[in-house]
Amino acid sequence: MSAILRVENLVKYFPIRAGVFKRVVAWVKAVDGVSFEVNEGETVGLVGESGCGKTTIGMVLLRLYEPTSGRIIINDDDTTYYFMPTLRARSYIKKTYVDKFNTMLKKFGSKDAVLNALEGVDKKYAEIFFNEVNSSVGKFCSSLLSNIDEKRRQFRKNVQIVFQDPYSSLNPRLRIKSIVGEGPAVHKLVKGEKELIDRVRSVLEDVGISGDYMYRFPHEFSGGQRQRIGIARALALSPKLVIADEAVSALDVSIRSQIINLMKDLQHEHKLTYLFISHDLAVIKYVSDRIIVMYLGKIVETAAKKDLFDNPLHPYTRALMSAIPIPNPNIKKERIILKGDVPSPVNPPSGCRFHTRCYMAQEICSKEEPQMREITPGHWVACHFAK
Amino acid sequence: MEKSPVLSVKNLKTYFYTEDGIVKAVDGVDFDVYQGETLGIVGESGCGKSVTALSILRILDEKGRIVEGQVLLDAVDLTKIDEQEMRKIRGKDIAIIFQEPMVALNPVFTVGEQIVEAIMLHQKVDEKAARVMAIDLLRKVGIPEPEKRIDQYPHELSGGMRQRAMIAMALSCKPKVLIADEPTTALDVTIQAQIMELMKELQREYGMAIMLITHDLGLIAENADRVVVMYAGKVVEYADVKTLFNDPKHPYTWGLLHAIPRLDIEQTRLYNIPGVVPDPLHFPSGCKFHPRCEFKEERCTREEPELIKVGENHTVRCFFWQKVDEAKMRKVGEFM
Repeated sequence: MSAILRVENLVKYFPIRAGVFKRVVAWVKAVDGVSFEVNEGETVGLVGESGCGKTTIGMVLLRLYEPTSGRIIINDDDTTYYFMPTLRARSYIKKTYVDKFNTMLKKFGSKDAVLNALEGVDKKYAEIFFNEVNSSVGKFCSSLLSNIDEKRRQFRKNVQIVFQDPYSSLNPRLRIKSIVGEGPAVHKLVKGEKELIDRVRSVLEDVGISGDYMYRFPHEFSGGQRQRIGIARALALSPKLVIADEAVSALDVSIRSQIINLMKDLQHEHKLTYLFISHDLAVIKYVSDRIIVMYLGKIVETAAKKDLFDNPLHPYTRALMSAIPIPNPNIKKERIILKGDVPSPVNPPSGCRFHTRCYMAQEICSKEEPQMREITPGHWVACHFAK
Repeated sequence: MEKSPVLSVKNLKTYFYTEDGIVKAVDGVDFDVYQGETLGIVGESGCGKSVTALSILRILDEKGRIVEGQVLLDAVDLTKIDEQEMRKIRGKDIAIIFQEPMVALNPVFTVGEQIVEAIMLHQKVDEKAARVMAIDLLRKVGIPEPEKRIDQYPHELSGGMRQRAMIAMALSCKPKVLIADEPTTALDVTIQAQIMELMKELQREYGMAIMLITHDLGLIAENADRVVVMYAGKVVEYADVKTLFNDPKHPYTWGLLHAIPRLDIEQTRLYNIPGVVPDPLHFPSGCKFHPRCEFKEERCTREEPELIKVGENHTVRCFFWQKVDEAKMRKVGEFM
């Protein structure tokens, strides 16, 4: 399996402005150094409570927010600079690649040694830098920025999102045909009106809506049907990665299971890759292959589904699992009740961010931030005491 | 000895007279609530569970009217008494907490002012004494530094704290019945666990009856003693919690239980209840669940079933509930 998406050290801070001159007085540290991978064809579940930064990650991946720092690599292409203004993009490329390559060149002595030491996207860009453009910074930047419009288009086609609220995410003034058909038309996936209609009809039928409804407006559909239309809109572009941000959270129980089943079926048929963002651990458990647990802007634990549920290592993961009510009155389970509320991401606690609510916290936790450690293969946790 | 219920709802019908027609939001609902016990009311949006709560307290908007039925609190029919007497009951004998504590609390008064008002309305105490009581209540519901918090405005509190303040206010007059309408839906799960734990503790201490209204079957399983399942304004199944979860008889209850993703078992596929919740202006004929039911027969489209007694304290509104039993045998493991 190869990683379709690689996120490295992603940071997103939002400024808080105050006063007459709108000076920045503080930063909301929504996402604070997050790294993970999503492999082709798998579903990665991103779970956490409100304010943990899970939605911000989705928005940053789609570049609806610009990341503060970090890299977003899709299919071995660095896409981080795609939507930056040219000057910023150049300075990003220079800082991220040119400086790194030059420092390495000094250290290793030869271009080949540098190339051997690198892999993935870094190696690819180093080859361009050393071999194609003869270490010219200007040409290197131009090379990466060439065809930027086409690159942006490809990016938009490959990464799609399904939103939480099926009511506000469909334009009420457009017919379903325009909502679902806009993507394929813009990306020139279809030629002419007839092909467009065929395309819209086929995706609508894929999601269980009769193609004859394509001339209706969103208000003529129920919540569940609208969510199907939202999914159809994403699928119409045959994306490589679909980000589902709380895609089933607003739905009633009976409708939710329909949509979850549909998304699983579609994944199978279209070989989709999902990043499934939700606060609901039960939904995440059902849909995901791998799970990432977040708390206050940081990843606290990540593992394959079975490992996570058989052996949760982080105290927050355990508390989260124990807090979810089980629809079975025969089971009486031990509940870990956490103290207090989630702290503000403006002033996150020192050391381990969870220490203020943790039932295992010791002195070290407030002083030192725990690093991610791999306890068993593929099972990573950020806790001083995880074994 | 048979316990007598604190609150008894009999054949309650609440209709909304809208411009588009009559919405039969609650259409003949019966249940009893006993002292010290939690009655769970579960159903999807539009099933009438919240309107039932609003009808009990008579706080419907002007389009809604109770057209039939009784709400008996200690043998007094709340649908018959006048507004002044009803006011004495609201907050004193029956209190309610809502889903969204930000909306339920008045943003321009401090938390303390609102609790003190509730206390002084129903109890003969002066403001000073009421304030002391309010601080005690806030401490009791687990709000740290209640002396400071009491003078804060709702926006200065977090969601969990606001819900705690709501509970404090609801408990201020030691009500006989506490109606909790989706009390934790807007909260994170770790906060939900705190609030539910708090409500259980307070119930043990005060011995009040709780009506827990929610769409979350997990909350029902863990907190309710008896359960009412509602669909399209009617009770479709009524049983004690263990019976309902171990041996559901109505196709809707059975379907719901298999449609939820669960942490306690491995599932390969969730059950699909096909179709959508019906539009309350155009309910289907016969059994209101029949368009979505996999066990339906011709009779279901014509006739509406009555509640049928299928066991000790277990009633079901379905002609063919035996079929669910058969399906259970057949489908065991299929959705597990």
